[in-house]
Amino acid sequence: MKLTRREFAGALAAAPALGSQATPGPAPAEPLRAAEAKVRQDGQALAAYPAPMAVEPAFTFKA
Amino acid sequence: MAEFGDEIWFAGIRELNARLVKREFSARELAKAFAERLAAIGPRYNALALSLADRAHKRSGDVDDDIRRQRLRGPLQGIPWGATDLLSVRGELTTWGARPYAAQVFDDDAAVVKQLDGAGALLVGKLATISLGGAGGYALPSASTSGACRNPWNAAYWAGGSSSGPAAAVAAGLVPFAIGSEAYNFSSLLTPAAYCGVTALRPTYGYVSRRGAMPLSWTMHKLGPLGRSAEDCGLVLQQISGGDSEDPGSAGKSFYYTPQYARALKDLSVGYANVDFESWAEPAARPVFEKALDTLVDMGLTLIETKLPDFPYELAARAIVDAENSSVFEPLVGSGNVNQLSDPAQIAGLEAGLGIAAKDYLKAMRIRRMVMDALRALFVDFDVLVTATRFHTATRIDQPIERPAPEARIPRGLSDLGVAGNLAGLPALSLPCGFVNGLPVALELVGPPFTENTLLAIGAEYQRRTEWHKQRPPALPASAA
Repeated sequence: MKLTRREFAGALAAAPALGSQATPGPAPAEPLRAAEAKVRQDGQALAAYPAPMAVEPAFTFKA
Repeated sequence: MAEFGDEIWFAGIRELNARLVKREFSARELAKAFAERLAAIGPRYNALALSLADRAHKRSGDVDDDIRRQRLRGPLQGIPWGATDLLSVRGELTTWGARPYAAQVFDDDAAVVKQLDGAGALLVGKLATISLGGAGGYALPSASTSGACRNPWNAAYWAGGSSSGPAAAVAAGLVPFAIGSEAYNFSSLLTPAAYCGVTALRPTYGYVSRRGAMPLSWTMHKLGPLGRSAEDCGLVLQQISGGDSEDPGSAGKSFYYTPQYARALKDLSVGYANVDFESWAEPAARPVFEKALDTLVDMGLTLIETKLPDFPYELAARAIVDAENSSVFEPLVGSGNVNQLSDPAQIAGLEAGLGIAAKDYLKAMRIRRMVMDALRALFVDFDVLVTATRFHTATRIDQPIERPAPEARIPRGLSDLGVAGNLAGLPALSLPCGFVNGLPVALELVGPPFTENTLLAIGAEYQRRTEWHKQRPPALPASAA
């Protein structure tokens, strides 16, 4: 396999230093898609749940 | 140097303190022995985050001096303890169990550390936690820089989370008590206590200052004790409770452990649901729970069948906690360093939580208000509610923590009490009540806000009549680590 100097430098920079722990890459796409879908589903379920207009959120602002 | 054995490693707070006051051994000797034991055995369970033997050693001289001069400060004086690594200790690493914070050091002690220092208790180590206390959710027992925390009752099983190290360390006799925390995710304090067979008290929201604790969820996060008994949990809560103007969630109240003034047990109505124990509990655990309920009846308590009002507890709690988690850790997500966490589900949860709409968070908070009102109404008829802390024993350490959901057609009973209690900020006590295939199971008692003394009085009487909290796990073979 031939590498250009730029590709070789890039590969070196990406390799973990000797003795150091490898840094995990970005989160795999599938768990993120699943988590985002769950947020959307939860939002729909919350919107569908009936709550009287007079019910205030369970926190109080104190001046 | 005094020789210590199991009668010390598994002794309660009052006994240890009485022997210190009688000067059978010194606080320095006791702290050194526990610190060495924690440092030697803790890593075999992946329960230890950081030894603080030097800190304990430096402070123990003053404690011994006070005892020698009869300046007695109460039952916690000279007692070693461990803190979840979510609590800051000045000048020491506080990693929150997460690689992005592996070099983090604070210049002040958490409020509970100061309060326990003031009582003369000796902090001997930081204990392992699930990364970021489980913020964002997690799928694997190994979601911690300490690795998957092993259960002292069987090292092939998980200790539970997020307060994994505190539960495992207390169960294995590595510290007499520990401080853990709970927001909602998997009942982070009570679940590990149940899995490891120790007693734990989740205080009413606001009773214990969270100043100096990792910000996890502003409206759900609570700190509480894990110990050998209900009494030990009461003694610790008395010391760590109190108003704190620097914690916006503080209730501004102090707790005094006075179970002797709690109402007579025969006057208490306890709500329970048969379906919890007959259908939700794993089959092998059902006889254990039935026997535990029989003991409650023998104690004079009146058990009355009931159920929780119908609300989407899990849905509301998840929206609140996930939105608050993700807001807290928005800089971590934005920097990309979130990808250093070990559990892909946790990374994804923190990222996705930033997309929770304000309307959804507010709707969940409005449902929470309805839940609080409904539970307040339920507690007109009941003094305490009881269910299983978990309906099954610990999961295996090499498997995901979630179990398949039971059939949807099973009536809910009080099975959502863990989530409902967290939503409403209610106190809860987890009591070991037996074993299934060598692993502990536990009952959970929940009361209205600020009724810890009632829960503890029931717990103390239950533990006077049973021996489950006194059981000791087998020694872990070195090869198991």
